This record gives sequence, C-alpha cells and structure tokens, in this order.
Amino acid sequence: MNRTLKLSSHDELLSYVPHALGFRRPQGMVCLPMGGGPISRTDLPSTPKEKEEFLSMLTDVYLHRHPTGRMVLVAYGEDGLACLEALADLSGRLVEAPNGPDVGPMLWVNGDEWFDVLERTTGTIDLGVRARFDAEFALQGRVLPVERRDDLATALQGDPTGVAVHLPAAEERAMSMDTSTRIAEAAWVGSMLDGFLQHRTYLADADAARVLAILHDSGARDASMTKLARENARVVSEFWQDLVRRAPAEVRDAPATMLALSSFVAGDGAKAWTALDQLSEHNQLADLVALALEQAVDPKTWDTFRSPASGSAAMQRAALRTTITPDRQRPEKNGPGAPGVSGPDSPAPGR
Amino acid sequence: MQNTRSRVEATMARMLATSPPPVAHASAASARVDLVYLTEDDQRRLDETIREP
Repeated sequence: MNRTLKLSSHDELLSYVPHALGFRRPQGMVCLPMGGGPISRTDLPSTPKEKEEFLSMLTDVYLHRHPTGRMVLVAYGEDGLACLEALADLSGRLVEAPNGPDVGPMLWVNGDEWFDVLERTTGTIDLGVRARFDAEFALQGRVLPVERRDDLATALQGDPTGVAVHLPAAEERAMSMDTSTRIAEAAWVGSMLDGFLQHRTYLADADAARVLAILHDSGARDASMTKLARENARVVSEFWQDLVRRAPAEVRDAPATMLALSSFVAGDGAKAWTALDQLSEHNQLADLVALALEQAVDPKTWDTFRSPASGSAAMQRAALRTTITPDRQRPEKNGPGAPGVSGPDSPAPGR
Repeated sequence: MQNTRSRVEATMARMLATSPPPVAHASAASARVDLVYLTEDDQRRLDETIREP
C-alpha cells in the first residue's frame, strides 16, 4: 500500500531543488528519491510516443537501476493539465509496479506557486526560506544556480581572443614534439590541473593555449584525469569549463569532452549533457559519457574503476600508444622557445 | 580530438560493461533525463526537508 509522506515545509523542498539541479526555474518532471538514488529532471511529454518514452526511461531508472523506497514528484510548468497528467501517469506506473516505491508528496509548481496534489493545498514559495538556502550553499563555497537550464549553455560561451593569440605557436610546438617531450608535456598538463585543485587559479592565456594544443594526445587526456575523483570532480569541472569558455572553436571539442566527463563524475547530468551539446563532432570519450548518462551509471563507481595514480610509467605507455594524426603534422617552425609558449623543461608562465 | 583509446576511455568502457543498456534511447534532446547524484551531505539535507510530522 502506498504510504504518503507529508512535507513539513514545501518551501524548504522547493528551495532545495534548484541547488540540486543547478538552475532555479526547472521545467518538466523532477523526481526526488528519499534516502538515496539520483534526482532526475525530464521534459514533460507532448505526444503519446513521447509519453511512453518518458515513462519507460523514468521507471527504468527508479524501478530497475536505482530502486528506491519512496519518492517525491514535482512537475514544473505553466500547463497545469500537462503537469497533473504527467504526475498521475508516472506515479501510477511506479506505485503499481511490484516492489515499486511509495510516491508522495506530488506537487505542481508554476513560478513561485505550488499545489500539493494529494493534500489539495496551495501556497507561494517563501522568499525568506529561499534566501536562507542560497546563503547556506554559498557558505559551502558552492556555485549558485543559474536561472534556467538553457543558461548552462550560455555559461560555456566566453571570449577566445586571448588564447587564440597563443594557439598557433602552441600547436606548432605540439606537432613537433617527440615521444619524450610529449610525455613531459602530458605530465605538465596534469600539474596544471593539480595546481588548480590547490589554488583555484585559472590558467594564463599562454598556458591555456598550451593545454588545448596537446589535448588531442591520449597521454595528456589521461594525465589530466589521473586525479579525477568523485570528491573533486566539481572543482575539476570548473577547470574545464573555463577552458571551454576561452577555447577557439578549432580546439574546443577536447575541453568540452573533458567537462562532460568531469560533470558526469560530479553527478551533474544537466551540465554533462550541455557540454556534450557543444561538440562539433563525435569522439570516442564523448560517446562513452553519453552512454553512461543514458544508462544512468552511478558516478560513484568511477572511483572504483579508475586506475590508481600511476606515475610516469603508465603515462609513457599511453603516450607511446598515441600517434599524431598525419594532417596535423607540420614541419617544425618553432621549438620550445616559441613566442608565448614555454617548453616542458622551462617554467611555464603563470606557474 | 583523436580517437585512440586512452586509460580514461578504458575506464569508462569498464563502467559501462557493468550496466545493462537503456530500455529506451532518448530520441531527442528534450527526452533526455538530467540525473543528479547527490553527495551524502546533500542527500541528508534533502531528506531533512521531508519529515513525517
């Protein structure tokens, strides 16, 4: 029998949701499992086909992949009928399943107004409670939510001009590297990320260009992700998001892919999808991240599966496996001393 | 970005191998599910907002 929980404070729950999702005004269905399991947000279906897909995807998540004992459903939107139908359809599908969760409360939220479907009560979100939650998360050093989900993509647009000045020389240098130089360069990329994890200082333009110029190398990608763990993934994402914002178009896919991966490991599915949407073409790692998002793979397992920090031997093996694509090989014009670009043996600007 | 399999990609592939394929592929961006996995502290904070009175 479905046991309905009661909210002690609708304001608290509805003030919490934006901080979990990363945006203040979600649209669609938000599912909140109690006691563990992923929160989800999905657009509401508008056709019978979409409705079946909507129900299949969410029941797959909460009945099979991440079964839970009880759930709260919140439908956000102006269209009350669509919200109430979606709440009824989803709650029915969940509750009727063998071992399905208890479902409730169920809320429809339109702007700041809420309607409790089971209690038949209405109210307005208390701005004081919202401000208290904002302060609580800010004190934890958390980034405050953007206004809407689309704003996540806007936040990835920046000015590439500064990095673009240094990129040609950095690419020339990267193309002319021999194996040992590439191994050193991969290690340097890892050290840049280590520095960010410690000091949260963004890279100087010349260093950013140097990182972007070598990211096509699998050894550099590995070195940059050696330290990626669930615990620090949110900060690692900040590093890659900054590079996505500043990267010229021709080298933007690589940091966007790394942002997608680190956002997935951080448990931030919306940002991971947004990063994947930035790509100009498919690549293997991005496709794997997309699959992990679709299959609702728990990012906590990253820490179990990832190779332990393994030092230069593993990086050397990775570097030796990698070949530079022939169309990117060019005659050496600038060595490690090229203007604006420092070599692996010399201190990099900004370090 | 070059598509040689790196250790990062191998790690992702191992993770995926332990998970069954999705029952339905998102046919459009609008059908995607944004999943958020909370930290233990955040989950506790969420659970605190719902107390049986």
